[in-house]
Amino acid sequence: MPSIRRTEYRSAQRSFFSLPLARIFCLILCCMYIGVAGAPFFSPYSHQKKFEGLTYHPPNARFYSRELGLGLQAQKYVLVNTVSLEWRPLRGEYEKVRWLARGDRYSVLGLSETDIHLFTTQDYPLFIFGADHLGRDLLSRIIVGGRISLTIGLLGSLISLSLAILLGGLAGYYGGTVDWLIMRVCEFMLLIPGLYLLLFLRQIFLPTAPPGQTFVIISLILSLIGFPGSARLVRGIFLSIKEENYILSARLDSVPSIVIVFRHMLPHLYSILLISLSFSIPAFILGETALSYLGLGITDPSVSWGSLLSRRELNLRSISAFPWILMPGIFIILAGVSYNILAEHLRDFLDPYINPVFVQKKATTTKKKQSQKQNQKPKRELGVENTPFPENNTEKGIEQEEQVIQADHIPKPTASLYTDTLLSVRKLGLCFGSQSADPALQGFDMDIKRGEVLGIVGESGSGKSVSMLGLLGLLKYKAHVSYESIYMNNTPIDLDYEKDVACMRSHIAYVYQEPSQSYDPLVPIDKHFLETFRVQNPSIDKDEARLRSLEILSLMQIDRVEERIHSYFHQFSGGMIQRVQIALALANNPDILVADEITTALDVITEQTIMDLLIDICKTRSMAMICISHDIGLIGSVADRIAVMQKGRLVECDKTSTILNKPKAPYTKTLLGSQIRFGDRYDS
Amino acid sequence: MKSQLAILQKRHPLVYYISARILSMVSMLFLLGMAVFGLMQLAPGDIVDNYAKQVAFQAGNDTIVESGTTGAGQEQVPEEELIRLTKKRLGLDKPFYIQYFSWLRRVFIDRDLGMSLVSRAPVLFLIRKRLINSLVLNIISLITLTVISFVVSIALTAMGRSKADVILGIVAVILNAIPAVLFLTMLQLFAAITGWFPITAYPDFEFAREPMRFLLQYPYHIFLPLLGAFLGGIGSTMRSIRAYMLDQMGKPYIMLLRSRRISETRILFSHAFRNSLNPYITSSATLLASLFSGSLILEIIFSYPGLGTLLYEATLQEDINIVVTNIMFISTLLLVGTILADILLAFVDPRIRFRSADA
Repeated sequence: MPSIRRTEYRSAQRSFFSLPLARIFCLILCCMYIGVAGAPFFSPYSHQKKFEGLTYHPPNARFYSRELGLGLQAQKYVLVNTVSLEWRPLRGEYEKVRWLARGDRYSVLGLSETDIHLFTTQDYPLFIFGADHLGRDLLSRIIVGGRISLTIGLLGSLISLSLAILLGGLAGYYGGTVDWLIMRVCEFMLLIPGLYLLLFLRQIFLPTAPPGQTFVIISLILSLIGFPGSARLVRGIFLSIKEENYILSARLDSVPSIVIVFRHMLPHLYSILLISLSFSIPAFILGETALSYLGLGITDPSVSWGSLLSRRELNLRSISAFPWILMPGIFIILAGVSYNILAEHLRDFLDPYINPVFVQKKATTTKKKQSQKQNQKPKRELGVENTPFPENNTEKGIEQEEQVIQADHIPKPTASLYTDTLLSVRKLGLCFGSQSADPALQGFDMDIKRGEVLGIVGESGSGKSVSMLGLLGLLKYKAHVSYESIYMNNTPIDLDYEKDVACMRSHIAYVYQEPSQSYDPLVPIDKHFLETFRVQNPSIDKDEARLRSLEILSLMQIDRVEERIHSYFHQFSGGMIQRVQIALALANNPDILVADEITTALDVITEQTIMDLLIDICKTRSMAMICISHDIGLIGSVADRIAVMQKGRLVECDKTSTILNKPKAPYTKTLLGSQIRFGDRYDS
Repeated sequence: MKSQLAILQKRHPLVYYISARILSMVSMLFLLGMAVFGLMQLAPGDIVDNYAKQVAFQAGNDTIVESGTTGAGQEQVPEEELIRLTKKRLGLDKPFYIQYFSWLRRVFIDRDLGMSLVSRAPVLFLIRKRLINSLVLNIISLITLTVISFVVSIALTAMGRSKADVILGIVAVILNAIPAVLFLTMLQLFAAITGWFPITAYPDFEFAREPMRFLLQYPYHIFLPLLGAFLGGIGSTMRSIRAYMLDQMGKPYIMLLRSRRISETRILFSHAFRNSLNPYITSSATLLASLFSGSLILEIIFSYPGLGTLLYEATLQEDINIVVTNIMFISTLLLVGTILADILLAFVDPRIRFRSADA
């Protein structure tokens, strides 16, 4: 199990770094951290060094001049107006920039001292980003300031994540009162506006504190404000993992709680925590910026990106005259964007809880091409209505057949003209994601007559439900559907046409397996019916719709229908919901009813009543029914014919008695053998 | 008693639900107050000492004013002694919970929130008008944010996967990363350079003086700051609303609606949208909190007379009375907001409305 996880993770990582955008921003962040780690070396001057009389000196880096030729050099400026601080460049006066040269002294890790800088100048300073109000080099200040700004995010996030894991974990693992208490506190902290709380805590904790402490205290305060959100997340995951069987069995084996939490539960949090970490770091950077802007964060002599944008220096006059003092802001944005994009990509790759509604763009574009190809065929055949089944003479068809042939008992489209065939499907194929992926269904053939009950059996993931969903055009955007031909009432269907899809949907009604997810919880039953009736008859009024729905509902043997029709679905039991669902499906008089494992979530007695009801209705209305289930016993008791499926392929399809008594395919035999009968013993 | 509660729960589930929410909120507020006072005691001694010093100093000033120039005798009392006496007089030497209860008694029975230590005005007087101002500002921005985010999200969902989706995603990421400070300053700079907009967010006269003119002037003044708040908040709001919408669109019931040939527009508006409203309402209280947080910077930069500026100035001047009252007020306000959201949720969602009735 752990090894699988690791390889999954590694493959995710590989594709993550192959993304150009993610790679670029990763690189930017790495550069930032390297620059900050070697700040004194990379900055040309000490960040505290004040150049006398060079207040608000404009940026003066040049790459070429006639005097010094190509290479980085500093243009000399002269102050022309001492009131408005207007600077003019001096023609022909340049200072050469020396690489790896001696400059201001600094200590390396507090161990030794050196004075080598990556680049610096001797006499006239080089201001790549200009100078601030005291004549200090802005670039040096930005590089040194990054130390605090980039680490405050890391430190703060680590503190808040530890708090979140501790408190959220406690709440999730123990539940009960502890959970209630911790969650109330978290909710509460989330409700107080962050900055207000920040100001309050800041006021209480350090009216005057030395700069070294400020850094720690500020990141502590920031993390105090940041933790409740993550704590709720951790709690939610803990709560859900706690119910998993392997945790339960570990607890029953009396494994100590600490071991369970650290060995078995925490590993599930890694990806979530990584994502949450990378989302919260920019928030900390922004928090520090806001505090320092207000003059309550980092103050001189310490320097951070936020303090460079301090309120005292950032007034309208100075910004419009010396716009380069906004430069630290660019770095904040860059760091923020990098972290955000990194987080977004990390989430896309690591979050197992994402429910993809739209697949990758690739799949939809290929689908378009495919549909163009297929559009031509049914059109051509429209004229020849007498031969509903075209012969398999196209090259593509033959190719596919060769691929599919694996057992000779797949029914051939014998063109034996079922005149009463309602629906006939040939070579339905379906794959999720991009086309190269494993197909969820391939070479699926099916015919169904009026009044017939077709059972489809197979283990989960064998493509039973998916085939029906694909036929109804319900997997648009999610999967790519291909087919050779679909005939509904002897008319060819092209699933790329809205009209044809609507035709399929009007003839085929679908009932879903999970009662708790098959309805809109906010809409009462009568509205569901009204809405469905209005599809066919837009002018139907409420009373008529009510009467008709009552009629169908009473058919489904629901008692007290009159008063319950205004109820919401959550007020019904699973069996009742399934009955209402079937009634809804019957509302517009379909020809085929697809019952997709509708009794899986129900108990055995309810299962029997509902199945009996269904069969009864189908016979009286002469409807066809497609009954999907993994339970071959259930299907055997209701179906006229049975199709057995495995791994997206049709294994065999024959009369019920033949399948049950003389199965040809080995898989069918296994299925039949795996049935549990009353009196069976598990070990036999 | 218990059975009576059960009857109430059965007969009027909504009343029961709402009163339970209100009760829990009140107890939370009570605990918050306790925490605030506890923190003040826990914190390094300066803050209480400073407070006592300020009060003592003011008392001294008062006596000087009252007794004219003859107050020189006041100087004789040593400072520590003075602080100790003042602390004793104000009850600051007692444990924090006793201080808290006496504060509660003062507020609720004597209806006195105390005085500002700096401007010497009653705190209630200072807070009342600013509270309304802040509330108006944030409610407007909450509504704009909600409406526009929903419109855009619905449009994007209707379009399916498109380029607009990707572009908006990138814009949202960038907007999220821009510090509010920088953004608002740039907007102010824009106003100053072009002269199209005023650089302050509040008209230079009061509503009471010329109501009509105020109503005309206010939107003009508030537009730019509001734009800043809007752009600052739109990224995350839209992202979450879009996630709620996509979450709903991926649910099986949408598939079943489609299988019954319900039109896409109807699915989008009367099902997916309505359902994604619920998680949004739940989170809107937190959103309002973050809006207040953001408006603090906004108010300071555009000198808008709201709670934020008041708190900021009080923090700088160490005016602890105002800071405490302010934080309590803002929490009360947001707790009321949460209760309103909960009530709204009960009206929107039948599962909450009927949950207790069925139980």
